[in-house]
Amino acid sequence: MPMKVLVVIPAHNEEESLPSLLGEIRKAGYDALVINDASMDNTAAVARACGVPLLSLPVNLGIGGGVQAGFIYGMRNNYDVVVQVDGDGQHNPALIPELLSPIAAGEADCVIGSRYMPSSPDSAYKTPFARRMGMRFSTAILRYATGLTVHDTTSGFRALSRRAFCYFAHEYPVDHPEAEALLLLHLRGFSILEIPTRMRARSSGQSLFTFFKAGFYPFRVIIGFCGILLRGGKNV
Amino acid sequence: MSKLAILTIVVFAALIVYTLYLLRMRKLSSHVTVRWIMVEVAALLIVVFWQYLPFYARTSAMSDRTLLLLVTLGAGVVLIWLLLYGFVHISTHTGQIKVLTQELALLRQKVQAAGIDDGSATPRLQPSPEHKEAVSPLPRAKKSIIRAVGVTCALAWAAACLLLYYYHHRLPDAVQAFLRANYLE
Repeated sequence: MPMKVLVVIPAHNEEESLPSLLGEIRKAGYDALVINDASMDNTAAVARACGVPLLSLPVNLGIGGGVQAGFIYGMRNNYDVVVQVDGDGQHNPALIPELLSPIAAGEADCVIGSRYMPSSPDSAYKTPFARRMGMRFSTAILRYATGLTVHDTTSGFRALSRRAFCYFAHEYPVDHPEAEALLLLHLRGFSILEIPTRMRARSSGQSLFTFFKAGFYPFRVIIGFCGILLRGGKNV
Repeated sequence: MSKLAILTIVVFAALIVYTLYLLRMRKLSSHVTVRWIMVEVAALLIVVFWQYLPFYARTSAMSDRTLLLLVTLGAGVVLIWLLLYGFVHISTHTGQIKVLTQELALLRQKVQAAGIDDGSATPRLQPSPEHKEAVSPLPRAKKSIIRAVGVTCALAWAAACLLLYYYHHRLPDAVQAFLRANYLE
């Protein structure tokens, strides 16, 4: 029996990149769900025009709160797998099967599409300096806290098994959640797998990971990790 | 390092531990904790390096540095405690707003999927005067009466204080003795 797959697309002011992305997802044959995180442009109207289910958040919750709404939707609509794809079009929906196959084989609960796997780095993708520093920091602190080595902790291109996204439907970090989410999964005994992937250049819009936020990010990650470790990841 | 400085450091260290305890109990979000740990560490550093702040000691016109330290410590601890208390409420409400926002979006999607206009696509209408009146906790007339009474009482209190200050010697001896015993001396 084929898996019921939901592609969750968090979008904040992504009216330009959404139509082509949704077209690609539809072509690939997956159900899509757009999370309009209180956009100021026509993101919601574009998603509606494409005939895609839309969760329109009346106030901005950030990537964590938005994606968690998608997990709740997936849980309540009996999906087997949720794939997270950024609304800026950087993630190629054609590569989704590569994320799905380890979950289908029962090898992992969370599969991360990584740009920085040593065996096959995405050399064409130019990572901004601020993001690179933040990512290296979160990689190091995750390794220190858990012994787990994930090369691309900030990748938003990931697939989650039903067990994993149902857990996240109840408990998910709020802002810059990617690294903290991995720590939560590890503490709860979920298996994490990283596979090499390629990412495209952003077609429009701006990254939310600004230089100022990058400066704040390491401290934010440390405190976030402390919070999870002090609670022991036993929240659900 | 003086005993007082050690005491201060212990108190601020306890505040940091208390902040982490609030984080652990999920009463304080990590978002807020970041800022609070920063503030508390800054306060701690100020105390530790207090002796290197002669400018503040001189311009404050308080030569007794121990007294100054005590006052600062007391004010700092109370301020931090009050603000932490406020932040606990903010963190709680932020979490509640997140859940409500998500549920609202999910409900709207369900309504749209059922083919019913949920109204989210149409611009918000200004509430009618009748609606405003219905949701207002107090009618406008009552509000203005309460405000007028409050202002009158405040002015009367200020006038009574001024009169007492300038004409207290005209008061009866017993009242003067009472005031002297309790306030003037």
